[in-house]
Amino acid sequence: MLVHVEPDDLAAAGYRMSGDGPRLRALAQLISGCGVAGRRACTGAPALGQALAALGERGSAAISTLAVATDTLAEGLGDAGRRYGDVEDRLAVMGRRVIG
Amino acid sequence: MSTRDSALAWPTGEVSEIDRIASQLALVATTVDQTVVAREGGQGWGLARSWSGPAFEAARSEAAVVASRSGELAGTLTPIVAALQGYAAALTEARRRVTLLRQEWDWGARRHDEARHDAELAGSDPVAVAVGAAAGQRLAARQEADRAWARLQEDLRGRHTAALGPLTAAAERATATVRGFLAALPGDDAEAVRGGLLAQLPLTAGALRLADARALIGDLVARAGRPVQEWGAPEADLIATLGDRVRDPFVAQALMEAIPPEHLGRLVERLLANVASVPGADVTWKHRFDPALDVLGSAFLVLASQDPWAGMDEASVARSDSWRRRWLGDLVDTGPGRIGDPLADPPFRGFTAQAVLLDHGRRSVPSVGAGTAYAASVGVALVEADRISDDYPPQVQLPWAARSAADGVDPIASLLRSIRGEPNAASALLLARLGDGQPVVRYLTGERLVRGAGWPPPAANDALAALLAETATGTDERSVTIAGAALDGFGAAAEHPERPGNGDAAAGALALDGQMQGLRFVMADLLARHPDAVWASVNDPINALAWPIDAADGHPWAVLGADAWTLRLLNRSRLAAVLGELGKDRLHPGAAASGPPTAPALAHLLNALVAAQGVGLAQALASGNAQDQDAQIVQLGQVTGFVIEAARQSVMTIQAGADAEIAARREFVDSIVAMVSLPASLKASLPAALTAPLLGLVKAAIKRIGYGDGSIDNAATADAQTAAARARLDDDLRHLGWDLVSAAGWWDVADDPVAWIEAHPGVSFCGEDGRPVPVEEMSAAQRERFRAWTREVPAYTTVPSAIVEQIEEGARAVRTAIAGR
Repeated sequence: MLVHVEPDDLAAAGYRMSGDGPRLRALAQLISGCGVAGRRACTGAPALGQALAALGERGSAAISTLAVATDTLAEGLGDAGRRYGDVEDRLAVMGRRVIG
Repeated sequence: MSTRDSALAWPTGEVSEIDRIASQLALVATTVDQTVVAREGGQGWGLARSWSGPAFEAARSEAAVVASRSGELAGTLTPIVAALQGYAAALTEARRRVTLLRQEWDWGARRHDEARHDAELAGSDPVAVAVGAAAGQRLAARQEADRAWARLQEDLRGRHTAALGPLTAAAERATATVRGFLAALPGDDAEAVRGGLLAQLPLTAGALRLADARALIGDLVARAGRPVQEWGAPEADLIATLGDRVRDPFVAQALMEAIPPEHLGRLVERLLANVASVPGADVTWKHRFDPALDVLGSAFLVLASQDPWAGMDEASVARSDSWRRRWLGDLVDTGPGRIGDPLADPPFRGFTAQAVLLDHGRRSVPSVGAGTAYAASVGVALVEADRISDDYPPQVQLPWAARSAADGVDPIASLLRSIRGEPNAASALLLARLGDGQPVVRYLTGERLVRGAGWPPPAANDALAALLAETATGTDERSVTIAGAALDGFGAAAEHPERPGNGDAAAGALALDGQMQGLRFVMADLLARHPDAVWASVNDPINALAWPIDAADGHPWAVLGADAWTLRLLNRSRLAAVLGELGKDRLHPGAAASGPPTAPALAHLLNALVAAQGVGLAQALASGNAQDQDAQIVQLGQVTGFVIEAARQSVMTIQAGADAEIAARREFVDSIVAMVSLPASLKASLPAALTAPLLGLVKAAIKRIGYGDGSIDNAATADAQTAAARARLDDDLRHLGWDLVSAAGWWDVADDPVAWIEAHPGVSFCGEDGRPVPVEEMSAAQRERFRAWTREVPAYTTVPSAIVEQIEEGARAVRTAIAGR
């Protein structure tokens, strides 16, 4: 299969995405805190308190997982950009034009 | 708690806290889908302009899932924010109203007290006291005050309940929206949610698994307390603790990353050298490192297998495959290098370590075999190293020499065992070209056997025979090509000791005999699947001395026949050499015949040839075409003569070489004869009357393959007996010819034997089918009448003499071919 790659663009995209993971992890922490606080704040509505506690636990898990996914993508793009760049450099040294 | 507080309960909850939760959730809802990945992944990804290919598709798919799930989180969180804010507002309002109700309660209570006081005052009115009505008035006023207070309390309670109604409703609404959010998540707890999302994010799941595996191996390395390049016996127990976990390809990859090929080879060598260093060690000592080697071998074999990443997403597969390509390249590079003691004999090489690991891996995980990628790269390099080195056969060990860690390890045998059950990998290996241009399979069935002449049968033969049965018995081009190359190498090796000027040919044949053991039957089987190849060689007008040079890039031993792919042998000499080797199957000079309960190689081939010739002859006779009939007789005679003479010559040679120590193995001959029979499937389709004489001929001929009727004390006796046997064979052949004509009904209608018998009253010589019974079954009177009838049928004159002539022609072709080597 033919591939087309602009290594610099990949590396740049990886860099842009590198902040997503930490941001999402902060949100996961926030929503986790909401769960803990919810049970305490809603003593007049125990069912709501329990639901908020579950929201904190599961919502945090969901967002943490998305954080890992964005980390993976960012690292993968950056790594791919570097490796494609190396190949491109080697081919250039060999006097060949890249990758159709 | 006062009555008031009890009646007018205070709505509990932390309004400010609920507001804070709502605002934090609002922050999450508005930002969770604003990541770069979510924004770009949800819009087709502008990166598509800079990147294409499978890796991009995998990344785009992953980003799209992140965007989608982020958007869903934001969408389901937003209503929760509104609902919580509504609940907080309802709580505030409810509190305000309860406060007012409580104030009313307090006011009512005061009014009630005042009314009771007024009632007391009314009871002390002097006028009422005077008329005796004071007590009644007091009671009435008191009761009225109590009733009014009770009415007020009831009213306040009702209004309290009404005031809390919106709060309860708001709480239920908020609870419902939170539950809606939870229902949208793929699990009922945090772990399930994580697992559910990862199932939709294969790239991430793979990365996490690999990260976990690396952490596991990192911990192992840390516990070892020294660099992996120094690992040896002290780390064996630690490695063994990994157990079956290395069957997970991620753990296996992490382990092989931590112990790269050059260190892995050194580690294996140290473990084996440790075992080898104790002379006369008991079994326990010899196997003390097996658990560690099993772990290393399992990891090695899992990664060398056909599809270690089965079930994983494309991107993870691509990433792991990329690593594996580099790993396989390292295995190729480090394979030929010596490891450990440079004076060790046999030398311990990288490929030796791989062989040990393949064997341990195969034993630990029997269902996993090495795959095509490994076989076609590392496997071929391993065979090439074997070809160009002098490691095989191993040198004679001097008594005082230290045992080598490589002692008893045949990398070729381990490699072949590792690809059992993996026909694609096996085919890729067997057909790969070595440095001198010949395919691997030709080297293994030929040159390598010659190099091992005089040594015991190579350990690789069993695995090679099994691989050939798995890969070379089909009718497709690849199978036939492997079969052709195998037979060519086998024949070339068999020709080797019989060349003129090769010194003592008999001794050479005897030395090579052991090397051929284990391969003869499969070679017969391969040739039996292409019986046309025998006649093609016998009747080859060119009889070339070498394969054409322009076919060097192809496989000249595989050709597309009339119906399917079939194979070719180089010339009559090579065919005779192959047939000669087949004749030696289970012939152990100096020992009784033994072997598996299947037909010996020659009998197996003859069965197939007889069946094929029988079919051809039946068709020719049924066609009534005289030329076809003649051609079939020629073919039958020459093929039979060639096979029998080739086997006879070969057996004579080896018997001569072993003359000093053997007696004739009559049971060996008998075992071949007993096994010559047509398969049941063919019996049903061939006229039994036609095939029976053919089989009789073949059996009689085998009986005379250089053995005669008694023991062979020496080659000269065998030769004399062979000549006598040959004379008797002529008689048998005439019987055969007569019986064939009888069975085939090869006469004109006017010469019908039944009509002849009716016209010439006397004993009948025909069976129920109206054709003459076999000559051997006739009585003297029948035979006389039969001869009288045959005088009018020309076929009884021409066919027997033609068969005799053609068998002699086939035998002559063998002698010519061998003499021309």
